[in-house]
Amino acid sequence: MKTAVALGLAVLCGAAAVALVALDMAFSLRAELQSKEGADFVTLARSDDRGGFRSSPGGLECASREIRLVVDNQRLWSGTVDVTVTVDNYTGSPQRLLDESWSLGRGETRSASFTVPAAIFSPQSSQPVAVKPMVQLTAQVGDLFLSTCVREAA
Amino acid sequence: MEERTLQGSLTFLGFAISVLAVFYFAIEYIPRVSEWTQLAALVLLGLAFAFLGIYLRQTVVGEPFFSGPRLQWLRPPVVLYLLAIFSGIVAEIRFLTIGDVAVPLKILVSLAIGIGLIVAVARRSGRDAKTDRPET
Repeated sequence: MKTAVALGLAVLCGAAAVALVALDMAFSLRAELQSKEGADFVTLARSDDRGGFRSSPGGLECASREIRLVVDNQRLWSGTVDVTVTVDNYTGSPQRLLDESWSLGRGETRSASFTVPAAIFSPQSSQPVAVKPMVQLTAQVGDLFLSTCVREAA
Repeated sequence: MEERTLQGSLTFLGFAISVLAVFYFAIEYIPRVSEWTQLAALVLLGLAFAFLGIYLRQTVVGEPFFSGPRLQWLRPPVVLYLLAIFSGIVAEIRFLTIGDVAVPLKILVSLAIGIGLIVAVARRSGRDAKTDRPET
């Protein structure tokens, strides 16, 4: 293979890889978990955050029981996405709060609000008494995965 | 020899820094995109490494980093070929973990690619051997 051809193909493949990743990130499905704090909603987790418990964008540690899931279809095409929200108090099976299929047009944003039931914050014998009750909320939006802890207090 | 060692060290450092930059890009951005984009990006990166290795093999930069018989194998093209192999293996693992593709199809495609590579290289090597052999 001639050197010029090999170099050209190397540059082309490298540029194509970077361009593909950039385009996918620019035109992708995005999801956020927001917690109601007073009159406003504060973002706790975003689909492009790679750590479940990294410092949340809104500066809060855990969400309140009133939560909103926002899904934004920035892809170049419309489509249907499966949305599942579960909450787990570590004492039994996770409880499903939302299980739907959403049909989203190109550029469409859709949200769903729900309240984590107070009953799910049952006393957990494995946790020390001083620890405030907390449960884990997980949202699966297509192949996106978001997670946040939820505190019992309002 | 000292000057050659310094040149080799600086070239090696340049390659190490560049490769780390590519790894950092891969670790930071590739996990954020969809499964098929991840697969395509890994394949394209592997091809880029391979073609770059082929290019450097024919240039002065393709010489060994360090003098001495034991490190003759450590050359930029070899490093790039190894990176291409690593990218290819990671791409294959990513393909096998894609949930949308049926398991039998994953096995079939993987075997076809693997055996196809072996056969293609063997046929190419056979053709090259016939070309090199002097005609009687």
